[in-house]
Amino acid sequence: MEPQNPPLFRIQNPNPNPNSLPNNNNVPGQNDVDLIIDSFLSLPDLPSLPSPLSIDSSFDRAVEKLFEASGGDDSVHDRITDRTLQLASLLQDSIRRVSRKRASLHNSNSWPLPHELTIKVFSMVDTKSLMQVMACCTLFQQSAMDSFCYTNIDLTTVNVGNRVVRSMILNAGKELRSLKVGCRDIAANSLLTGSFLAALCYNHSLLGNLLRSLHIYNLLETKSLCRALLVCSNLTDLKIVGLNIQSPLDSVLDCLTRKCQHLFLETEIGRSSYICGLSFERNCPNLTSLSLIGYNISDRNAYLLINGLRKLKYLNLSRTYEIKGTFFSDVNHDCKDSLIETLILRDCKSLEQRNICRFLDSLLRGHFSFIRHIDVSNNAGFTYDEFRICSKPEFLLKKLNEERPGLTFVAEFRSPSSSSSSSSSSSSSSSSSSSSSSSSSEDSSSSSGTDDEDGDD
Amino acid sequence: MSEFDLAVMKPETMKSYIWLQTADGSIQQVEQEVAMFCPMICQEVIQKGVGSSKNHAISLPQRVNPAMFSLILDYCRFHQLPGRSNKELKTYDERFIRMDTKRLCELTSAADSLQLKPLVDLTSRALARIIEGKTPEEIREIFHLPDDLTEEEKLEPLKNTMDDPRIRLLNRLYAKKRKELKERERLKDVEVEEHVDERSVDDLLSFINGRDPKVVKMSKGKKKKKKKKDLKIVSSNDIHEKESHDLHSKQQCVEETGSSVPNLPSAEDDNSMPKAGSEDEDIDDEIDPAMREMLDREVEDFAQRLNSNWVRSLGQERRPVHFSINGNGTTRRRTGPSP
Repeated sequence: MEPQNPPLFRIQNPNPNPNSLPNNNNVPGQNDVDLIIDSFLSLPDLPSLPSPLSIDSSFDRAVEKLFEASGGDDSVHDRITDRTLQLASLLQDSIRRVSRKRASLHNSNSWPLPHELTIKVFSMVDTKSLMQVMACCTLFQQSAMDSFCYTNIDLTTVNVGNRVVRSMILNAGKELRSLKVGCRDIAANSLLTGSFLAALCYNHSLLGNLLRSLHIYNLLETKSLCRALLVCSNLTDLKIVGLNIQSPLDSVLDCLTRKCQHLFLETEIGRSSYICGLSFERNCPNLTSLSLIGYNISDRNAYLLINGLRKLKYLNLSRTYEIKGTFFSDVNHDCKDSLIETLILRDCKSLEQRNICRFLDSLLRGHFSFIRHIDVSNNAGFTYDEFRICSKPEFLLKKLNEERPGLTFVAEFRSPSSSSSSSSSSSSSSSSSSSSSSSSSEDSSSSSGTDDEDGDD
Repeated sequence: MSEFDLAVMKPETMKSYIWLQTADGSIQQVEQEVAMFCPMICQEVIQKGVGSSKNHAISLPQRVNPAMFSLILDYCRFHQLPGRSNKELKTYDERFIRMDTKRLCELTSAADSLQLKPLVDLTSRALARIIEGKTPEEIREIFHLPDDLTEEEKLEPLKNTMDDPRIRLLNRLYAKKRKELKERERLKDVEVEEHVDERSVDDLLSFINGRDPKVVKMSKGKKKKKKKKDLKIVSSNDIHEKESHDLHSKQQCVEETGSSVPNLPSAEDDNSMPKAGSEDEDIDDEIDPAMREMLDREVEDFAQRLNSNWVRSLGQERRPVHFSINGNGTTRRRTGPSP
């Protein structure tokens, strides 16, 4: 930045006509031009319009004289008009340019933090605020462009298009670790189209391989998703909300890396597809946390899931309307030493009371020694033959209290008609406590799901 | 440690003080344990042996003015006592950072120059909290920063980083190599000795690295390789030096081959054996002039197009076999099993 003299009311070398030659001795009168403009700008403050001494009337007189001197030719008049207007706008641009330079200089002098510290502060700020920061001043813009600030990109709070996603991913460069994209609100018309994750594939999937965590909301198309998942070979945490595909989930799971530890898939009811429990064992055997919300999972497949995912600690199968709970008996049989710690089956309408009781019974017998939290809340209670039961098996729970003191069993029944519907028993303080609305089951599950997430794998 | 150091560090002596001089010239003495909480002061004492007397006071960095210094000392005094509970520390911290923004910035800067990391983190986070959720005008207001952006700059904050000439060059190189490989595929037949083929491929790719990489060779099922793409894996885990450009420093090529080879397990042992010291001096000879001209016509879009085409073609395979290398050099395979 070239040094500026403290501008009083003098502007040195303003060069009003950008097309003229630079300041050299061959152009006659360059210094004269400077002098003229100098004296123009040094005019003292004059009164404004009504008075005849005002600068406005001086301008008027000068321009009128110019028109009279040029004669009656219209084209000449036009030229005069254009030229004068251009002079005026050049002066405007110049003053703005110079004051911007001054402002930049002031900023760089007065900003107390060194460059690295500024970057550090900006890296602690969420993505949306980072964009606001960039629009503040050039100093901030330079710091906010550093790739360190884009380690965790969260674009779920704004509705952006492909280009922004791409720019951010590229800007993150080798610092990219996590990406959240999409509109949480399904009603919003997302601007994202198919290949918004294409940047992950550039340069032999350089960026895709760096990604550890990917959260996508309300996806429109799965082919590009599969392409992106193929290149994310180090992904440990995947979350897709609003995954509505007609084809089997296998096509997505096939693309997922085996390193994945946390998987969260949620879809709307009625749009879900068939899931084979075996495909999880085949594609992501290292899962420690699995949430499949709103899918058609049969009891058989639930059993296959638990049986196949030996490292599973957290399982959330909420809003699985088909499931009756008969998988409990199979699981009792084959997987009694399962590592599962949290089991959530909220809003599973077909869950039968006797299956729950069977499960609790097996807990009493010492199976599933790791389990800490069970949640089977729903609106309508359990099914019991043709009836609905809205109560918990109190007797079993009391015994459980004694035998397994660390266990929390939650069963809240929020039937709209009944008044006092919710009750939950907990023997002692335990891990996550569930809230009673199904929309936040996603939040609680995602928070529990990422509890286990430690650093890198 | 010298005797001098021991004298300073011995805890049994009566409370010892360290002399410190701030930027404005004023000298003060501070209890040893408090001052030594700052790594920078600690270093000065141990390495240079200053600070034991008024004449040899440690001069603090420019960024630490007296007001900030007394704040920092308060912080150190509180935190260096071993018996504090986490809750106590947290409450103290929260109350500590309640000050106007300007002082907070100065404090961050001062703490940074003294290398007091916990305080730097604390103040940075506080500043980040201040910035979050504000519009640019509000932010400018808070920090008293006049606006020096043009209108266009405000509307397009994220410039496209692909304009960086180094990225363009890198992309061009990748594109070159890939095109070259495709050429070789077309020119050579299936029965050509695999060994020569792979080696040239590896050499070409190592050209990008520009040094001696360790190349992991896929020696699996050579005879069974069909017309599918050659599998090449360049191990980049050993290349950890920082390149001048970020994107170039980590090259993890994930290439896939679509062959459905049944005897995969036998080949797995070969995977982890690195081929040491591949030479790259033959590379230039292998690119004949005609091909070189062809390669010189690259554009960076071509590289992207190749990338996306390639990956898409793999999605059509029923059971793609993935080979990838993670950070510590072990290969891992993911295959589709037979049902």
